[in-house]
Amino acid sequence: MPDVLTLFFDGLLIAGTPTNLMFCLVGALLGTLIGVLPGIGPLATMALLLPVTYYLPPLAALIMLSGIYYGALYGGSTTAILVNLPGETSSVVTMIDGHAMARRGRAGSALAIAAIGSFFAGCVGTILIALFSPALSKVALRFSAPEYFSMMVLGLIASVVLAQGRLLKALAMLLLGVALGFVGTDVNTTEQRFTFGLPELFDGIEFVAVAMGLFGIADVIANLEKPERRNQTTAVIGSLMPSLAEFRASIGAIVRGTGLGAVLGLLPGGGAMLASLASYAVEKQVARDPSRFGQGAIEGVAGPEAANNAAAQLSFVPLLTLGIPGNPVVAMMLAAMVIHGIQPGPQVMTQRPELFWGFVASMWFGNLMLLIINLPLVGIWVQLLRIPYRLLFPAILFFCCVGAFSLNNSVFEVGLAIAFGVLGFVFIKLKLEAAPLLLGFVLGPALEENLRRALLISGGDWTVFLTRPLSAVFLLITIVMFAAMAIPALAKRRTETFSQGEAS
Amino acid sequence: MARGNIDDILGGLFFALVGIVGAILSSRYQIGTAAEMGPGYMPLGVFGILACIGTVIAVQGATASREPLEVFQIRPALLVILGTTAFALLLRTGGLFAASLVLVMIVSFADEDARFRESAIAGTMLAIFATLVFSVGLGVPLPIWPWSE
Repeated sequence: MPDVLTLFFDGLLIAGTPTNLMFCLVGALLGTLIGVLPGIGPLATMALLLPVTYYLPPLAALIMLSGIYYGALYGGSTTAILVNLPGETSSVVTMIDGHAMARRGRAGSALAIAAIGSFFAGCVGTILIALFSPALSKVALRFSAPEYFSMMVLGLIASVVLAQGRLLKALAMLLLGVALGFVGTDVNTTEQRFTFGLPELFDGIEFVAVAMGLFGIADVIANLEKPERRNQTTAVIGSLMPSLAEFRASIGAIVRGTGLGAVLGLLPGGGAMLASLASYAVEKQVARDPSRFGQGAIEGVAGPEAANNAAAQLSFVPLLTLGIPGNPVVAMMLAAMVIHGIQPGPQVMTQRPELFWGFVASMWFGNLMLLIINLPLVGIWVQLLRIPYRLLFPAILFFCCVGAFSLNNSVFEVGLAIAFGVLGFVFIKLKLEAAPLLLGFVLGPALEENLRRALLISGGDWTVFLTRPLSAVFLLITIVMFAAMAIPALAKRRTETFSQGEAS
Repeated sequence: MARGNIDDILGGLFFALVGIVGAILSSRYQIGTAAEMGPGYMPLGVFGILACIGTVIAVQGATASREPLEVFQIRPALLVILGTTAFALLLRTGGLFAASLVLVMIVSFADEDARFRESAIAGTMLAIFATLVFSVGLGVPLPIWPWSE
């Protein structure tokens, strides 16, 4: 096997072709754009663009979609620091000290540290993916049905445990998602299940329509209910050059944030949001004078921004090596791969090395582009904040409708997206989080198939999941994790961590 | 004072209802055995668990301290549904231009600051943009005009 460095270098060459660079730039620009704008996030944008990716080469599609995800993290911090609004959910903690710095006239410095921290984390993240993935996929290649089933259960339960709100509600949403995955033709018996005689449902419910409804249309309705909060003044940017003291104080935070983010990104259910919250908490703990936090401590910007980017990068690892998405954004990437007939999993690296390494290397290009897009050009993005939501939301709805139609050239999918939009709005009102539903929906079919296969091989003996060591370990971790959350003291801490991020 | 967390009660009842209906529908398919699962085996299990969890959520919610439902406005939801549905119905017969114009003009009024002329212009611009990018640029087959079908 050629060593990782050679493969990575090949990847750089593949990602460096004009087409791929262009889609990398498109992704980075779009990501920054929607990151800066509150009210539209990477999930909705990726869902809107999924139908388009059908017309692109697979690698270009993946490069563009991933660029939207981490680009949004760069853009989100700009809005957080300058306007004290979360451009993205993951930049909620950046607001606390970032905007405090802006009020003291250090906005430029906060922006620079946020971008540099993100860039550092992005570069390290890319290297870590290159190092981790081959090893992980080698292990995964030895998995059979029981291991796969148990690993998916672990991943899904982890996403429930790390979801916001009540544990039982998240679990119910997950099961609802799995149930939605039943709709369509049963692969083993070719019998139609829950299709109610509608031929449009024979291939199952269209993922893109579900995602558009839950994260596009539903969010628009929910946003329209809130009175527009747009008359805030934008802080003056000032010098982009951080002082030496600020720079020195940030280095430790950036390194710690990157490490923390990398670990949390790898975990199923983890992601940018969790990583930035955790990093902020850690920085507050290790600081000599924690009272500075909230008053404009640069570590409170540097750490979380590095952490969320590292987490975003590393969250692609479970998808690329195991074929399991840990969060809804990565589930979008899975859908894009499936559109192009690529079955995500350990075999991607061996069968399509150019795709894998090209994708990994593109993230390095993407981060470099984002550094340039976000620092010298920050003034342009700030202008975008003047776009009123009343012009933005009809466009979002329009692209949802056109995108849903173009999936199969049929109006049925538009109706489906609207229906899921209404459902998503009801979920928001009942404080039910949609993320576990989407993950359950994506993984449901694979979950059922592996369960069937495992029990077929074992002759109906359920202990097969416990007698195979790896499978048993996965299930044990699942139970420990779930039990830990059921203990009131720990559950309370979990709620606090999340409300800390929300309250600010 | 009355008790009960309305969110949890409604959410729990919703899950319980979906679970029960789903389980009944699943039982119409062949269930099979663990070793040879029929198409109804796993759905029955999943819907069954969902029904149980839903019931627990609803019961817990009913005994929890009072928390009323978040107030919500009907206008945004209604106009968004109306506008998008109109788009879906109009696209085949009226073409992309007419459908987008109607969509944008209806949904714009979900926001109180909407202006008639502004939304008409926005609708036209979006239709032109979509035609150029999707139809011309990417080759997506979209019915642009009423006579395009």
